[in-house]
Amino acid sequence: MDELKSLKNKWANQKFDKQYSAEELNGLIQKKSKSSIKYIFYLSVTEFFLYISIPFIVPNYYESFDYYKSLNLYEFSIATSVIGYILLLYFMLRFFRNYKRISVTDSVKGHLSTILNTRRAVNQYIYFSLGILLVFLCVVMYSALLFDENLIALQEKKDSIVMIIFIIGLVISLIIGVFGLLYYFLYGRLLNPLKKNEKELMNINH
Amino acid sequence: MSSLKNEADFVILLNENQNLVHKICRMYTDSKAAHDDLFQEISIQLWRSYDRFEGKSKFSTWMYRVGLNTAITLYRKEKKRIDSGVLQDNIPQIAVEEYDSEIDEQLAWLYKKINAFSEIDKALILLYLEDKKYDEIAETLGISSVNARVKMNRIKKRLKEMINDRHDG
Repeated sequence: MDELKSLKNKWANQKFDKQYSAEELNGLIQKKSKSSIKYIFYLSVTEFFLYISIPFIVPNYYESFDYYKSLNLYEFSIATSVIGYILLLYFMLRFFRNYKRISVTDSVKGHLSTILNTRRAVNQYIYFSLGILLVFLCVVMYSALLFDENLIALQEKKDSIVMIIFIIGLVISLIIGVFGLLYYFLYGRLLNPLKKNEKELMNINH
Repeated sequence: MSSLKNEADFVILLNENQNLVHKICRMYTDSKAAHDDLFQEISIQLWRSYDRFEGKSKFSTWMYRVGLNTAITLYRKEKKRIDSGVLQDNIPQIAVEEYDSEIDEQLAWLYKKINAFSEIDKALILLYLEDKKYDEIAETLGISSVNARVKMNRIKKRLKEMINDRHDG
């Protein structure tokens, strides 16, 4: 029993070898922060801007609308693009608003939650975008099989329809796989320990 | 940005309380280099949030919050910092020995034991050893006072068991 008290006493009076002088401390606080929040912020902003710049990066992006027209999907493709940009705007606003709320003077639980919520806004955006993309691709593919003359011609050969579906499936799984890996390495290492800590604090409160 | 007077006041305050920052660094790192890195990061974060602190909350609560938040959330250890060298096997061990030799033997044992605890438990142990009241612990971590009390009792029990095991072993 008393040993715990003596340990506490020692704890209170412990001395550290390294004692910084006022000048040294003054120098320390001028240095650049290595905070990982900064990296999460830059990565997230980059992602949003990558999505904004899709029309400029993807070759023949605008010409593809002519193709959708030939499949009777012009209005559908415009509507999906508009919904995509509304979602982008909504999630960007949420992201920046949460980012501004991150404060190191918050309680540990509050701090963890604001960081994770900031990042969640980006993740949700990506899930929604991928979802819309997937629905859009399926609709386009279905219509293409009905209206695209080249594809109709191909369908007449028996095996090629299976091949087409197989290749399309492979491409979609590859895209999702690459995204998954990228996210695992980019954010998993930064955010998993935070999630674990948040969960532990939540458990204390339950 | 804060004025020069502010900066001077802050440095005095940090200087007076640097032992607390050292304790957090010692708990959350396992080498001198990482300790110094974390000390620097906590100092920067304290200075950046100094404007928001002045008068608004209890000094120690502000300091614990910033220190723990930095150690737990903002700061990720650069584990690979010595890996590129050829002497990979020798260096980390020397670093640890050197680290432990400077303090009281019982405290060195305590820090070594604490190392195996989760980051949140480390925060609880720190606040327990610092003799903080349940309200302040609750406010620092963002949990309720009742739960802070329950947790503190468990931490106390675990520490006692650790001490007993040490004598038995």
